[in-house]
Amino acid sequence: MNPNLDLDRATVVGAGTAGRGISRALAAAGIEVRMVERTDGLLDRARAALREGLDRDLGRWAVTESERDAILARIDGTSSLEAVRGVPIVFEAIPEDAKEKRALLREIDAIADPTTVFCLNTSTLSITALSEMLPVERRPLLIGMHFLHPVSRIPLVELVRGRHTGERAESMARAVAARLEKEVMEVAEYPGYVTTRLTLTLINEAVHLVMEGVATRDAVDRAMKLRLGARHGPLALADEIGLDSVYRALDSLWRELGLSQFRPAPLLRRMVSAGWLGEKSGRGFYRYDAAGRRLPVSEDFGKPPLDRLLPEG
Amino acid sequence: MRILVLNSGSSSVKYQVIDTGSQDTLVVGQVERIGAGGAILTQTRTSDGERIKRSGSILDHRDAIQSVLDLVNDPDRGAMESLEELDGVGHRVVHGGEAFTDAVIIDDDVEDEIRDCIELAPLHNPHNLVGIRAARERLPEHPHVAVFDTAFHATLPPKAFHYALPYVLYKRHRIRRYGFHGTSHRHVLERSAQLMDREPDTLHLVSLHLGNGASACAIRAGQSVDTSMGFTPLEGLVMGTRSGDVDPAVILHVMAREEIGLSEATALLNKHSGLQGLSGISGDMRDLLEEEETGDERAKLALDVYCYRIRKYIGACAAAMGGVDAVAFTGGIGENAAGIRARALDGLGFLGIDVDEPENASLTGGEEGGFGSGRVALLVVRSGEELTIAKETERIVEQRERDR
Repeated sequence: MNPNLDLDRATVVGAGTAGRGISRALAAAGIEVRMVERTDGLLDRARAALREGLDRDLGRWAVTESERDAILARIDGTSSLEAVRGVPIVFEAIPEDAKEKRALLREIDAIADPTTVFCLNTSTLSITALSEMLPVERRPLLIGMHFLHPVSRIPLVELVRGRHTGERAESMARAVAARLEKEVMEVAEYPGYVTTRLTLTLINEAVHLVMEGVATRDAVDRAMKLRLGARHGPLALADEIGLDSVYRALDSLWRELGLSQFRPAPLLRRMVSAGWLGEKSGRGFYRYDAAGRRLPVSEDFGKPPLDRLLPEG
Repeated sequence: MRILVLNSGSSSVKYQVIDTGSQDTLVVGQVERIGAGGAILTQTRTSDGERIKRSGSILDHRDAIQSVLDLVNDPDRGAMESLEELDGVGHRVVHGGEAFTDAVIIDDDVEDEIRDCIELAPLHNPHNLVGIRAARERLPEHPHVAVFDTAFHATLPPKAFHYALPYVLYKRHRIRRYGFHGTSHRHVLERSAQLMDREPDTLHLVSLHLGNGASACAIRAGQSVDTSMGFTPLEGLVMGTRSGDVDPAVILHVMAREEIGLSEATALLNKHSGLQGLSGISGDMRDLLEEEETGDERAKLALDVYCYRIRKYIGACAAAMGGVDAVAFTGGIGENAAGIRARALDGLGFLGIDVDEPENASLTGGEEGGFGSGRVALLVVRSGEELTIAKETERIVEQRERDR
């Protein structure tokens, strides 16, 4: 059996940035998606955010109107975990919190079909450890697929096999990646894998540079954008990922690995506690309009308290 | 011969059963939404309009091909009593690269070579190939023939198919002009020759395929010597949502200014440009003609650019051939939009191209015929890619029989 071919439905648990990104990518590949979130209110917000994101991408020529409509039509939201029943594959995409993930996986396991594959979207937690919370029969069906934000634009997925991961899970994950036109990078099960470790290091250092007054936000971003030939500098990238996610991932790597480069910069912590979460909250290192477009620099300066921490600019 | 013509796309299979002797299409059908729960199968028998419509789950192309065979073989509403009556299967394949200059009987080696061309046509060849594999599995005893969109342009001379780019790109990545719509242009040539009562190899013909995609082809003495589409079907004429020719520097500039990546730039050129992009209204010719009628300036602009580009290419094709005997239109727009034909030909009197307006206006909705009043014949030809695929299949099958 070619696992690619019965892949016409999938369930995504968690409708945050990652869950929405995965749902959208699946739907864009013609797969019917059920997106699960705890409350109807959160679902409504997720749906609105999906539409906003697609509208923004329409303006950047990334999708056409009919593609946008088809994607939205293929994503069905629900607050009931029953939606994990009867699908060949379930994607877990809730925040990086080991305790919550364990609890959720147990719940999903109790409802899902015995052959359903679980794809975990984690970059810092151990697939092996998470699978060992589940019955022996389920363990081979767990695999890590780390999608990178924004999922629709980054053609890469890090594939992580736990100690118990079996054939079916791996071929299913590879079929998904092929269907989504993502290149598969197989990485060892080790916190942060490749992209998260390097990206977080870069972002954390960039925040330190601004905080220490070595260069302005714009200078740091411009320099690294040119140096790496990248689309964004590290601070704009942090805004795009979400500063809360960046903070949580750094904190987790800091605890796991004990390497000082992962200790979250104090400025990052302050911004997160002030609710400055980046693009999604309208404000992070940069400011954004309602559609998530970065505001021109002139409108964006002189607002305390961040400007006190920034060198003149 | 009775030939099943298959055109396999990503989630659809379109097919016809054609009797090459009478040139009649016996049944026309398609399977849509393959891989999804609610696949739809439709088939119409041409002789009596008998229709079959079914829906159900079709998991993959193998299922789809099986359903197609069941339908064409349907005792009440099909085209034959037994699949034994089928003499061969003709498969449309978009890209034959440099390996295939003619249609060919498909064996395992040919399948491998078509796979090698995937890099050149990532959107089409993989699906064509899946259809071929499925059909060969279901009909292992029948001859299967691959008919390539690019093969008709195999006669392009090097001076026409090379881009003035570093030669190493041609060696390394086979970057060159291939041309598309070849099967259609071949049909236009044959049909135009019939309509003009001439031999195809005596004609200097400009063939204009104007549909969703659009291309011009300069056919000198029966051979394609130049064509407007290039490495991909993006180059050349303005299309529904494709830009056609642009200064390549524009896209690099826009990518930098708008901070967009490769996939957005690709979509910008292929899905957001052309009539759609320029008008901001629609990529559909019928919508634009209506809007222009009501005085919409952007619709008019889009149509002006569309027609002017065609006119330039007619001139270019005439120059490439050193003369022109006929200009022939085909495709949805070419066959139906008389006004567009007239606008595209406007001002070409110096080439001997003059439009007989009443004749032109009468040629719509599948009517074929001539509408020129000058030295150069102007023709409308009903598109017949499937018929050409069937005839090519017959030719290759007969050739094999002879060689045996």
